[in-house]
Amino acid sequence: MSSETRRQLNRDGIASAAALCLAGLYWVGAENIPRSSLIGNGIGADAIPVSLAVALAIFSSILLIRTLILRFRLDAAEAPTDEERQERREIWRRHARAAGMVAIGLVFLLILEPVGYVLSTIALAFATAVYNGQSVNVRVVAFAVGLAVLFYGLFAGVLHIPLPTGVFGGLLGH
Amino acid sequence: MEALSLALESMGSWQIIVAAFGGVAWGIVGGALPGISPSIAMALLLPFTYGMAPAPSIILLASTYVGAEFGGSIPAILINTPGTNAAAATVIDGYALQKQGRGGEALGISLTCGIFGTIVGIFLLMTVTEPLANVALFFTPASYFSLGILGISVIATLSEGNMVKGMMTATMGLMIATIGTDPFSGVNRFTFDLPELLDGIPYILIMVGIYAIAELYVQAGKSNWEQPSGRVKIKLPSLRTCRRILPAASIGSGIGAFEGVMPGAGGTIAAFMSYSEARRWSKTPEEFGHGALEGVAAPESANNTVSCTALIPTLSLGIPGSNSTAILLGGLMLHGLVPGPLLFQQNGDVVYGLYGGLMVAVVALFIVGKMVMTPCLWIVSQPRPLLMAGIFALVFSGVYSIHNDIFDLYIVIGAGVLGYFLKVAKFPFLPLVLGVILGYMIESNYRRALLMSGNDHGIFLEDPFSLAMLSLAVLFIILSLGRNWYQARKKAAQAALEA
Repeated sequence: MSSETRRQLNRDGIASAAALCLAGLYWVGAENIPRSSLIGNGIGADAIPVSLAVALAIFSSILLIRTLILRFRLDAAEAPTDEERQERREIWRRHARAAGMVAIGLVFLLILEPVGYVLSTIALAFATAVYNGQSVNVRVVAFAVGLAVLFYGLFAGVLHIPLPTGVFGGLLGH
Repeated sequence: MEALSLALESMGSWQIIVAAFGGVAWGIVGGALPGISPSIAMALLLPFTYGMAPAPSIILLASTYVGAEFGGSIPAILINTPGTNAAAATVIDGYALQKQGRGGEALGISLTCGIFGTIVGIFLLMTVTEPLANVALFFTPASYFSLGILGISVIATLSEGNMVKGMMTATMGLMIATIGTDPFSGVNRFTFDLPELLDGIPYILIMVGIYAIAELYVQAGKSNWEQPSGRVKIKLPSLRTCRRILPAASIGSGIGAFEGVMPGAGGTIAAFMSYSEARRWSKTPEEFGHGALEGVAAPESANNTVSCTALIPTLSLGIPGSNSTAILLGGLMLHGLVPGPLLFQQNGDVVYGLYGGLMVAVVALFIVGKMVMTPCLWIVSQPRPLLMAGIFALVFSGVYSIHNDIFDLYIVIGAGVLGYFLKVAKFPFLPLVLGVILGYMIESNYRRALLMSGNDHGIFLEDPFSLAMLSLAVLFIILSLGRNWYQARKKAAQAALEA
């Protein structure tokens, strides 16, 4: 069995187990939905959620069982080759890079209100570009500043969207 | 004829002209960027349509779809990298032509056949959609519930990956749709005492997160794409060349017309099928793969036809067959427009305006397609990190502008993370998005039907339309199971033979 098949089975196993947990949690939440007297004998607000929890539990169990069966058929003694180890490292490197993008996005959200739109967008554009391999130079700084000013002009000036001005906006009397 | 005259009338509106030209230009640029599919280009525009009038906003999205299908062929021909999935078939002969120094000619054929395919698609869209929508006039709440179930089942069973994964993501989509205040009883569901969740999660946020943000996360781990070298000018085909490629373009449009209407099929399958059929019917099949003009004509006319015919089930029944039409449906529903017969009766200006807008998009494709080539090549040749930074900032700014609420941005990031995991684990997106969009329709009609029948579930089998659609859903599931079983057997037999 190829290393890709093995990896896919691992991913399916993890995903189906996670979905099974989600179904359980959602079912608990659905069971706790209060019944309203407004609907009389009608179907309550919990009916569809409970059915969905059961459906997800069934589908994820099918996938989990199928994955486990196929996984047990694999030669357990077969050790991963150097190439497979290299591939695995490369996959984890990609996940780590994606996690970095998530972190950049979260930091932007945290600084958006206190720092204001323009400065936080400059930081977002600069950090994203540098994180993705752009070398730090005047060009990337000019790009980040230009982008933030352009978007500020578009959203605040043309579309009249009230954007956060932050502490600096307060100092300027905005 | 009335549809045609109303469509022609709407073509004079400046808003529609601006929306069509703007959508096509944005679509070409977006499609030309590897990794930005038509659906992502459309998702990036969604926040901007929020404050627009319904007709221009829908035309903007539909024109983006049309433009992106052509835009995808630019990097396919010039740098051997399809800008969109549907342009993957164009790479084969398009890049071969580029290596022979005939890239401009290949781009000219791509543009001409894209226009041809769009015209065929618009004609079918205008003639088939309304009669199909009129069938829905006879629908009861039970039928609407079953229609939603049929739509989700078909998409889940035909999606990439296996059927169970499609069903799982569809169920997750329906779960997301239950968040918020229940409109029947006023009870809060899964709101965790957060006032931002009382109105539910707007599907625009899920779409932008799943399509655009998740792709940025994926792109973060990838290396740069090849840069285009030198200047390329589009060379439109001569009359003689047009005569030569007409049969291939017709094959492409024929297949595109059929595949566009079929849920889950989309432009990619249509492009490859039409490439294969054009080669089969060609007098010079040996040229295919080595720079055959027909090898560019067939897939390009196919994917542009799909961009219009895919709107037929979306507008008439509210069932989108692809990611791009799911976004378009989201755009319709953002403006409170419900697809089906009532859309034609109550919001005829939007539908006929869309037809007119697509006609303007054809003109725009011709003009902008030629004009935008140089700026397009400039954008594609920019460092990828700068493009990613620009898109990231655009998504956040656009989403913030919808409600001026940072909470929306957290939801988009969350949806992006979910989309990334789904991508990594090879779970299809479309069933999830469809579940989110159709969730309310399915639940509300289910409960209405049961209110009418005094909680008797037999109503879903007594209503003939409902029975027919539920039977079809079961049939699709059985056929899909059969197909999976057959493929597994075939694979096992092959493995045994090799052993």
